[in-house]
Amino acid sequence: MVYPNLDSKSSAKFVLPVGAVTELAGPLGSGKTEWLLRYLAGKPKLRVAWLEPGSGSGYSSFPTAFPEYGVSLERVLFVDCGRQLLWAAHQILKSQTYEVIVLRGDIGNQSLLDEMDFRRLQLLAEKSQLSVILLNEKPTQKGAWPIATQLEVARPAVTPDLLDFEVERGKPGFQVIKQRPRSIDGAGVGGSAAIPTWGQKAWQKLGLLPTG
Amino acid sequence: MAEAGLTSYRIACFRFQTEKTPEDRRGALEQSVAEACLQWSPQVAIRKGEAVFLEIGRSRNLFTERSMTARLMALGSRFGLQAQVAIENSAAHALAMARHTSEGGPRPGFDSLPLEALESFMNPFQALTPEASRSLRQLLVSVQQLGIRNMGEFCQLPICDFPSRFGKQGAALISRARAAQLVDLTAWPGFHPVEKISEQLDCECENLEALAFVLRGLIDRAMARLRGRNERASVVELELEFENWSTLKELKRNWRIELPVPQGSAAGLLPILKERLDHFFGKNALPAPVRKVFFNVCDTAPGRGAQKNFFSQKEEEAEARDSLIARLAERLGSERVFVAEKQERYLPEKSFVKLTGAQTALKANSRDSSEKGAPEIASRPTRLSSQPELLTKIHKTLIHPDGRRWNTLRWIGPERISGEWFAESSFARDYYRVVSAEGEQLWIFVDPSAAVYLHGFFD
Repeated sequence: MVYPNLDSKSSAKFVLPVGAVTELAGPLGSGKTEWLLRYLAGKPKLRVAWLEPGSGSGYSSFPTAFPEYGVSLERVLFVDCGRQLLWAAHQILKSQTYEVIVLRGDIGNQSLLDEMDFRRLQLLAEKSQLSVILLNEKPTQKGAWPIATQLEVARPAVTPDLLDFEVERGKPGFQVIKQRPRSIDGAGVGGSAAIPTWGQKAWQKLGLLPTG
Repeated sequence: MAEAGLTSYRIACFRFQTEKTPEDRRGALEQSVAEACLQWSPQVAIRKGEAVFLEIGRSRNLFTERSMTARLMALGSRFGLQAQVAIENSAAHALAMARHTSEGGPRPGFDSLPLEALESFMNPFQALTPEASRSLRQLLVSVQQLGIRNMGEFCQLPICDFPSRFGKQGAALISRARAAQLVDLTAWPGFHPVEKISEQLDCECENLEALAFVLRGLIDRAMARLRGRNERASVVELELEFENWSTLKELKRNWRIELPVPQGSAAGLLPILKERLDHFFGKNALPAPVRKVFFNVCDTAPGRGAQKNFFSQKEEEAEARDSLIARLAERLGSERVFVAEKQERYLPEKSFVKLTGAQTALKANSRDSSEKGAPEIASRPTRLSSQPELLTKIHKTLIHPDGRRWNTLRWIGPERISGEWFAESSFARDYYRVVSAEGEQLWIFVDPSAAVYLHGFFD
C-alpha cells in the first residue's frame, strides 16, 4: 500500500464539545471527513446520524470507506434529506438516539443553512446535550455566532499525512475558552504529536488539549 | 412433586365494572383487556362481563405480586375501567376476594368473607345458570339457618354431613371452597384473542390538537393489546367520522398507513399519525368536529420477544430509534433513510447496499460490538460521486467542466479495478490518488481510452 495517511491515533484523542455546534470547514479533499471519521473511530460507543443534502448534491459520503477508517456501518444512519435538512436534524436531536449528528451545511458556494438555522441547531444541541458537526467547504462567515467552534482544516501538500487546523473563532466571549467542554463519552482529553505546533497551540487555547 | 407444582399457581383476578361502557362494546372491551394481559402471562381467562384471570405463579421471578397489582390497576385506568385486583391461589378464591374488597378499604381475610362468596366457587369463569343460582340460594338459606355467617365457619363444617343435607352439589362446593385456599383445581377455559385489533372512541374534537390527545389514548390501548401478543404494528388504519355538517361532502375519512418500521408503542406511532394528519389538513382546521375515531391494526410484525430489562434502557432506545427512522422515512421516503452494508462488488459506486425500512431499524439496533480499529491505510475516498466527471488534463493540471483547476504534485497508484465483463456495465479503470498543490486529495481514474475522470475526494 502506498497511500500516506493521517495518524490514526491523533484525532481519537480529541474531544468535540457536547451540546454545541462545531464546524469543520475545508475544500473538498482537504481531509475534514477523514479527520472526523478517525475521531469517531476512537469513540466506538457513539452512534452517528449522517445527514446529506441528497443525491443531487454532487459528492456525497461514501459508506464503503467508513470501515476503513474504523467506523462500523451499523452505528451510522445515513439520511438523504434534500431540502429538509433542518427538519431531519430537528427530529434526530429531539429523539436523542444518536449522540453525534453530522450535517453537510453547503454545496459548493451555496450555503444550505442560515443564521436562524444555526441558532435552532445550537438550542437543540444544547437542550439534548448532543454534538452537532457541520462539514462545510467554506467556513461560515455571516451569522456564524451560534457555532461554538469553527475549525478550518487544510492538508499541506508537502506533508499530506498531517492536518493543519486553523481556529476561526477565538474572539472574546468564545464559550470554549471560558468553559472546558465535557467529552462526549466522558473520557478525558489528550495530546497528540501529529498535530503541527501551531495547531497544538490553538487546541490548547481552546481548552481541548492539556497545557504544558 | 405434583403438589409442589400445583401450589406454585398464583391467580390474579382483575375485576372491573363495565356499567359506564355501552352494552355493544362490553365484549370487545373484555377482549381488549384480556389481550393486554397476555403480555404478563400466557394463561388468561375471561369471566364474561366481570373479570379477567391471569396465572402469574410461573412469572414470579419477573413480577412481584405488588408490582403486578400496580400494573393491572394501570391497565384498568388505561382502558377507563374502575377495577379491583386480588391475587390468590385459585381463580375462585381470587374472584371472591376481588368482589368483596372495597376500593381503598382494608383487605378482608378469607374467613371473614360473607357466605355469598360461595357463588365464586360454583364456577369462577362463568355466570351461574338460573337453575344453579336457585340451588345455591337454597343452600345459603339452609346454611344460614344453621347459624353459619361467613366462609370461615362454612369451611369448618364436617364435610361428611354435606351429601345427606345439601346433596352432591353442596359436597362439591365445600370441597372446592376448602381446596381453593391451597390450590386451583378448576379447569381453565382457553382464551384466543380476535385476529384484528380494532379500537374506537366517541369524542368531540374540533382541532388537531384535541384529536391528537384522543388518539394517544386509543393507540395506547391498541399497543397494549399488541404487546400482549408480542407483536408490533406494521400497517395501521385511521378513520375519522365527522359531524354531519351540510358543508361536508364525505362524513368519513380514512388513512391506511404502511409503517416503514413496525411500531410497538404509542410514543413511536403517534408522531407518525400526527405528521400524516398535519400534512393532510395543513394549516386548515378540521372541516368539522370529529365525533368518532376508529383505529385498526391491519397487519403486524413480530415483537422484540424479550422480557423487559429493568437495568437497561436498550429497549426504550430501540423503540425510540424505530420511531425516529419511521418518522424520517415517512417524510423523506424510505429509500433515503438507510444503514449501509458493504457488498462484494468491484465497481466502487456499487460496493455497498442501502438497507431501508425495517432492515434499517434491525441493523441500527443490532450493533456489532466487535468493531475493529482503523487500518493504517485507507484505500477508498470518503466522498464519491455516483456519476464520475470527465476532466481535461493539460500537462500537470486537471480542469473540471465547471472551471475548477488542480495543479497535481503526485499521482499515487494505479490501483486497477475491472470486472463485470459479462454485463453491459463492464468496466476497466486505473485509479490514482492525486495530491494537488493546495493539498487536496482526489480520487481519479483513467479508462482504457485514456480519458481522465474525477470520481471522489479523500475529504
